[in-house]
Amino acid sequence: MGLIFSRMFSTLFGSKEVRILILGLDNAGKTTILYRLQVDEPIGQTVPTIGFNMETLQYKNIKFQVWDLGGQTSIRPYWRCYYPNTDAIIFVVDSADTERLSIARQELMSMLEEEELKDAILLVFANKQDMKGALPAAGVSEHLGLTTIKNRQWSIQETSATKGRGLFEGFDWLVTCIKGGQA
Amino acid sequence: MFSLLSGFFKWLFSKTEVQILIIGLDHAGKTTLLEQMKGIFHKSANQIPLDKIPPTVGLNIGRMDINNCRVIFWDLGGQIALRSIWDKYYSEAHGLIFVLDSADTDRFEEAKAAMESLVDHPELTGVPLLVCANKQDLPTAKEFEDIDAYFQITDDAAKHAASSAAKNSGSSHTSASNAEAGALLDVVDTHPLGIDSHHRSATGKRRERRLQPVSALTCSGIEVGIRWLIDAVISNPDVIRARGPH
Repeated sequence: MGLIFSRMFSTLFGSKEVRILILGLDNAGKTTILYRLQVDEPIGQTVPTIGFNMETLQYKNIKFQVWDLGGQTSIRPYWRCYYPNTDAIIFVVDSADTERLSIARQELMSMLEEEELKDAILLVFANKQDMKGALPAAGVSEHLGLTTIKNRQWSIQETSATKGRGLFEGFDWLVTCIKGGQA
Repeated sequence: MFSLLSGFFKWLFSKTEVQILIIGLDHAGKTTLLEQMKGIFHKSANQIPLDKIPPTVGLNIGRMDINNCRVIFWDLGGQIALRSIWDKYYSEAHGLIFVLDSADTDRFEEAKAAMESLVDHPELTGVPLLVCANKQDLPTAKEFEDIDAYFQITDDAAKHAASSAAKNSGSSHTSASNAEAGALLDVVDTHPLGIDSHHRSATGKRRERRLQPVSALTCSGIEVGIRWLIDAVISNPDVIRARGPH
């Protein structure tokens, strides 16, 4: 009986936590995005993440558990420890760093091959759009090989984490997709 | 022996996998159409509330079983910046859905250009095309005839001299296609796996097309159109074989 009530309660008020990973190469802007999503205020200088930052945030009646994992080469192998039960991946790229887009592509593609992530939806933030020489979303998606993805829902969003542009538009997409999958 | 049996079993009961591409200008209603299809063909699937669908920037996917086929729909974003990625999906599409806003006459020209670039694309030769004249629920929506006249979707031949001409051209077509089939057989013999899609396009196969008035909002016209498209795709085994599942 109590079980029924608690289930009703949880479906009514939607308290299931959605697990999101923010991944990407080092210096892409993952940590800035995480805190921008949480407080929506300009974020000062962040230090390179060694390990992870985790925050829970509530948005549109859904609780999110957002993990921001460090992106340096030496610690990328540890990403996989966080893969199980992930609902969505936010992959952040520095759109102005065109030289390293191919590395980002390799990391992204090998990540998407993981069995544990096969049901996770993918949101790409083409970040640092405020910088000179930043590639637009279509260019980034081509360089990242997003167009070769045929079995997963994905979306790309131009963002500027320091200016706070585009982040919530992208997040809105995530929310609707996840809600569509749940409700 | 076991693998033979299991192979046979799989062949008997496996469903054909069909991949359908949904494209059209932005704000034509592609994602709404996809979500409604989930409701029609895949009752248990969860739909996104229609009023909350954001513009697609990327790819939405719908998987459902229709006419005994496993169908995967790829719904691509239609904004100008994103149209450059459409053609990355052409080579693997078995069928096409072009969604059109029937009320947005200002952009008919743009839509027509987009559709023509699709129809003329070498990788899409012979792939069946369903044009959904969407938003028929709007009072300002153009009628079927007007849209057909502007976009020239159904062939004049098919429109006017439907039955009688079909017989004539049908008989001439079979004789021609017999010759082609012989040529094809040679190709298959020498290259059992590598089927040359150019050769197939050279057979001059007519593309199956259909214009379907649709209201994605009220679900009218969707089911008929989609079932037609799937049938057209299945009855076009060349396309499926040449493109293969995945």
